[in-house]
Amino acid sequence: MDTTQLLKGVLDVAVLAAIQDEDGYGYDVVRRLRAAGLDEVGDASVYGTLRRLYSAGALTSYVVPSDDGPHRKYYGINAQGTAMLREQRESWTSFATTMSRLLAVKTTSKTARNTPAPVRTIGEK
Amino acid sequence: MSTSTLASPAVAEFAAAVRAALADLAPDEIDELTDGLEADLTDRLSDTDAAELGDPRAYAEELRAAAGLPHRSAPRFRLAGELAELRKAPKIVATAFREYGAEHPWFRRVGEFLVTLRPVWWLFRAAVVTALIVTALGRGWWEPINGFAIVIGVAALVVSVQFGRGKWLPFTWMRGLLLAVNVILALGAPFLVAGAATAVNNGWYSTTYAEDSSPDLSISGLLENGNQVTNIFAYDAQGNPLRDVQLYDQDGKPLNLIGDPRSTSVDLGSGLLVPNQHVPGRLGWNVFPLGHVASGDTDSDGAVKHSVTPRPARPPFAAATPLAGSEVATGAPTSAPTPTPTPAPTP
Repeated sequence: MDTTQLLKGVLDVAVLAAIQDEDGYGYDVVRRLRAAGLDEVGDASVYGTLRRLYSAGALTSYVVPSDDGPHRKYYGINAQGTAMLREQRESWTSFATTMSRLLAVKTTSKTARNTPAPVRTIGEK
Repeated sequence: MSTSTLASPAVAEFAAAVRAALADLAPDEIDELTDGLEADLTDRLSDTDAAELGDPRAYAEELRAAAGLPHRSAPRFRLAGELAELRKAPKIVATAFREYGAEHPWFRRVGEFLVTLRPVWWLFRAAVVTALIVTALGRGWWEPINGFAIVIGVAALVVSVQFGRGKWLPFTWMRGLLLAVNVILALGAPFLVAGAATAVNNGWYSTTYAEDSSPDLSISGLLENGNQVTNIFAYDAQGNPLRDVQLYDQDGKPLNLIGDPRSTSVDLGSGLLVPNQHVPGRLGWNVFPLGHVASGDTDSDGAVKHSVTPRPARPPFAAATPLAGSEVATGAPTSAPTPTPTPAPTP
């Protein structure tokens, strides 16, 4: 399955979660997401998401000048962002549970269909 | 975590290319999207071994998409794309019809039949457009056809047929417009036809009214309250029916019930009404009562055959009420027609 497609739908909540404890600048957030296991996340996707969340009022932002290099733009979560994260976490949990159940049901029914034959064979022998 | 240095030329170049790819956005939007870009790129370069930053335009697209901003020139292309989709519709429909026709021969035959009827459609289209134009210019299209309507109608017909043949359509938008007009006409056709039928019927009624009240008429003859008078029965003062009564109007013209006095006969449905045969030149239409013959009793000319004698029309009453003071002569009624003035058309 193409995980980049899956990622698109959950990037908002992933980014919010990545900065819920500690403010971060763009590449910093990318690094945290990759460290968490989302290897395929694209830099630009993360930056765009940060900008969008900021425009939506879920994030605060400040620039930290650097003496020896380009300045960095940090993002932090605010009350609205926290509320958004909570809400999205719930919907994700519910969605993930549903999907897990759906996929699990498929697997068991498959095994259920397959198992009787060997059972019968063993019973007959 | 690498220490950031001043942006390398590669990073600066890449960032500039990204900003250029976003150039269609507002300047503050570009700033908002790319603020801190150099630092992030620098970090990425130092974090990974790869020296490549990739395609700046793809990067810009990703940035844009993630930020929820429209694709470059998206509105224009989207509209054009939808129009292109719409333009494909006739082809898709045609293909579907062809496929269905391939499986069902009757469908194909009906389709071929309808295709041969296309000129009828062109004619109908021209007629509707003519009616609309004439109405829009303040003349009722139900009015008697006049030169103006004919000119418009001929012009509309020529244009409609040329359009139907695919001529005179230099611009593609004209084809689209024509398609729209056709669809509207096709949907409206049942209503238009029903409306036209009603209007024509009403028109005929009003024409009949006009005939009632005005003396100058194409359909002539004697009308009484709108009903054609087909015969006249005269009774004398004693109430006896008269035969061979010659009647003239106030101007001395022979009274004529049926219009054209040169007519040889008038079909009443039950039989033929014929003029009195004793007046030369079949002009005996003013001699009453008029006689009847059967439908087969006329020659190809419509004139009564020589062998046939018209049977006298049956009077509505055998006798009418005598006039006051004239009851005396009730004695011998049967052979009553005393005056037989046949050979004397005085005026």
